[in-house]
Amino acid sequence: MKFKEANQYRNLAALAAFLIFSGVILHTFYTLKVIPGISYLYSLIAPNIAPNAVTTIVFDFRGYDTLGETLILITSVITVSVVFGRGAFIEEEKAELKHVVPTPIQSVFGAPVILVLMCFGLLLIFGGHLTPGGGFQGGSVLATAFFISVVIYGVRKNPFHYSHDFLIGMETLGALIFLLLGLAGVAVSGYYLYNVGANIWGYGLVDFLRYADPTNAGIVPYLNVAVGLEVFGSLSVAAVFLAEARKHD
Amino acid sequence: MIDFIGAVAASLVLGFIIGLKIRRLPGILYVVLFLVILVLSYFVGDYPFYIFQVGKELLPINAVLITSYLGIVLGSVLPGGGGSECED
Repeated sequence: MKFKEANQYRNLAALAAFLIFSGVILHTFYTLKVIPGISYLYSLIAPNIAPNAVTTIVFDFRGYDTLGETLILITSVITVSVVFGRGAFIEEEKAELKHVVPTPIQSVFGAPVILVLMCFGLLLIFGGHLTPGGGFQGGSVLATAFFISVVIYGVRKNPFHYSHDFLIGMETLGALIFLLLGLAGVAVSGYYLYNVGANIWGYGLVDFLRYADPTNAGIVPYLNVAVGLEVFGSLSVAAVFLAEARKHD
Repeated sequence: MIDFIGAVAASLVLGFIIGLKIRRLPGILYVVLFLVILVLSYFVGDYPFYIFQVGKELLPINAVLITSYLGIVLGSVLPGGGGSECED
């Protein structure tokens, strides 16, 4: 398949996805019933969904807002790649962080510290609906661990060799999980990003997407995972672009 | 019986995905780090309630921290992350 032909199919797929997503959002806004005092109700309901009421507000009550915030990350990465990304594609001009020789202390302690940091990042992601933490914080810790590896080992000879494609894949996967979980809400209740697993408003399908733990968090932990993946991918891609940037960029 | 089986399983899967692109490190490092993670999980304790329950006893060891590490190691060792050599 030629590049132009593939590009046309990709554009068509993007157009179809855009139309479907826009239609769903518009339909949700059209059918939305604003109940006065709903925030007071939510203050009472939130602890019944998950112990961390802030997460319930952020991912359940204000799911749209969180979706927008995660998409801001993609925009910022695109901006960084446009401004500093030339170095990633020009091999002749070496960037400062492409070839780095670690010191003996960095060689011994670098990889263990990075691995422990990654485990801590995952712990933060999965504890998001229970305690302070969550996708944003956990994803940032994961990205920080990766950036430490870039500072120690450089880009070329890094044992944590996350390529552009892999990181963009993580970012895309996170965004897709978030969007598809929102569509599950539409399928069950007619409302985008309805918390299917918690099912506070009683739309019937109670056990679908219920998270396997003693809380009633529903899709909130999955959303945390999605945001964690996206933040990890976005910040890491930005870090790689900055590391590969040429000095006069 | 672990109550938080969802997080334990999901951390193993996500750790595996993240570990896919980590090159294979020396085996002794994985073993030493596992012991370090065990000690760390004891200090992390029941944050955020992810603990092992054996019978009626609660072991003060954070399960998700351990399974995250195991997932990363599995992802790194099994597919190899591109092999043990650090190359372009």
